[in-house]
Amino acid sequence: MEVTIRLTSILATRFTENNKVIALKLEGKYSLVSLIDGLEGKFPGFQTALQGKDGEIADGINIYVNGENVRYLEGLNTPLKQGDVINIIPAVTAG
Amino acid sequence: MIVDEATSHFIFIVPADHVYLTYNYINYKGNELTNKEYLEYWGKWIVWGTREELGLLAKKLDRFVEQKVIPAAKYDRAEISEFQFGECVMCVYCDARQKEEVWDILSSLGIEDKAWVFEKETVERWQPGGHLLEKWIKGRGLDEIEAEKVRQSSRKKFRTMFEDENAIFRGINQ
Repeated sequence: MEVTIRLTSILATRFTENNKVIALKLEGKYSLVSLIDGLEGKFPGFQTALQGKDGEIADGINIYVNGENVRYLEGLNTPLKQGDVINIIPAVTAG
Repeated sequence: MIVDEATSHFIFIVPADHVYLTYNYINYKGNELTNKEYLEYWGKWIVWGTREELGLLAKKLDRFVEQKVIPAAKYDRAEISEFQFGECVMCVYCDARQKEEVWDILSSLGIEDKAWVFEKETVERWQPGGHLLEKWIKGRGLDEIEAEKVRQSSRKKFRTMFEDENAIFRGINQ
């Protein structure tokens, strides 16, 4: 299964060698957890920016699946399906 | 109507009726929202880019705002350095119950990044301990005494604003 991840410039600069749009093939459980694992595999260090010390989504980050904030869905357990678009943005944009 | 006053950080796109105080764009199907409804339903699509890109989008959105199919929008005059985001942000406001109609317009104008934020989230993040307020305080380099004054001011402002949940929402000073 493949999903598309879209990042803001600052996240792309810091973690993905300026790749703002990433196609990611997922294996195993199709949830946000597997997506973050996949990102960490490709771009080491990214996971620590996305998850706080408590393992939940970091307060400074918003993650959207097809435009919906996963905090209002199932958080890290939000299921993903083929073709989903995931936006990851710093929460400062919500001001 | 694009309201661009140099003294404001934000450039607004609001209906002319709103500017002349005969219309409140914070409504759903013509009914003004109460404080409770505002926190439950009001929100925004977030768009980011350079100021020039957002300025071009603002011109395209203006007619939709005048037609009242999009309630309002605002965008940064310049990047907010305290946040270190590196881009300007536009908020395109509407009630959550009409957000997909508004998204269809944004999508037709070429916007691809789809991110909805409830105002409740923003209000929470600008309160003491909230991510935005604390990042702003840190970015300003305030000492602890000044920081605490800012926190108290924020606490008082939001408590006053939302204490009567059935009152019509009257906006946030910016």
